[in-house]
Amino acid sequence: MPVTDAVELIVKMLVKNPEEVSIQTSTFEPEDEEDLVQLDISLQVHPDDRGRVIGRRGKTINALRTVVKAAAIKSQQRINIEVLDN
Amino acid sequence: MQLDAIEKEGETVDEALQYALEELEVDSDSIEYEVLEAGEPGDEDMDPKPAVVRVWLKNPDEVGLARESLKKMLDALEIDAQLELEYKRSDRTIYINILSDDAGVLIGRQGQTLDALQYMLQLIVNSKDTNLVLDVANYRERHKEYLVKIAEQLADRVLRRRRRVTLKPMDARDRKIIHEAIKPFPELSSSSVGVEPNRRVVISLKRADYAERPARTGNSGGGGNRYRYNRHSRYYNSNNN
Repeated sequence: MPVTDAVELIVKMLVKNPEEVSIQTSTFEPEDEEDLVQLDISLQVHPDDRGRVIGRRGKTINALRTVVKAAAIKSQQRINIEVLDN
Repeated sequence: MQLDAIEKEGETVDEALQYALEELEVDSDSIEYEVLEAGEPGDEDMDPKPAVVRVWLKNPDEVGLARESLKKMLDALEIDAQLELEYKRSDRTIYINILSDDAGVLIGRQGQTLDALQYMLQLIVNSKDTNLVLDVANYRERHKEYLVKIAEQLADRVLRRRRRVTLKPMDARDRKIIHEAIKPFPELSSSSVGVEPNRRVVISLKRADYAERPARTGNSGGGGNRYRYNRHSRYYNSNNN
């Protein structure tokens, strides 16, 4: 899944502990056929890196969302990215 | 980067390098060099040959890191792109211009995606003394020219109609471009009103000029009207009728 790989790569560049980055995804088929497939991406990172990935007032995670959504326009998906508590 | 290289000679390579460092006023960590002539000490039969080195200032590590990180990100996002990269020593800024068929996608609405990409790249490079400016198809430059044009048109309108104008909401960088564009007009001043993300530039006549303006009828508007971009027709109707 290229979108997921891209998220993983970018997050690993941002954090101090790249080996502790893990990602779960789930997809939802739309009930309405007109609707887009939804892809949920959940990030788990080292506790010290959570702030780094989220950024002040979510600036970093929002930047990540913006870039990934833009790049995913072609693949016709709705993409949600969240950072899990741990 | 080798364009600003200098050549120095000395009795030995080390000596030549030393002269170069003195001229560039840097230490040996921040240069790269090439030995053009190794030089030979003279003896009875031969005059000594001087050593010659070519020395140039090395780009900081951040430049390579920025280029590689951006390449990796674009690859992962499956965007074909060429990078034009320039490091300006004078303002210690890395300028990267992305050339791509997906330029529109990379810029995003009002440059949103471009700003997000630039912000992430700045975080990755994470350097205190190097700035980084990312651009796609020279969007930033073109956008700036566009804003300056708008500012000048509105300035002209304020001067003709003797009324201030309020622009649409802009981010700090765009507002600064407007302020700069208004500065050359001696009769005008610009300021920002409102709260982010709805902060807007107001272009107005300097106070002295307002005194000459005919008094408005009734309430001066304030409040809601002040922010309405196309309020002029309203005022003109209510004043003239």
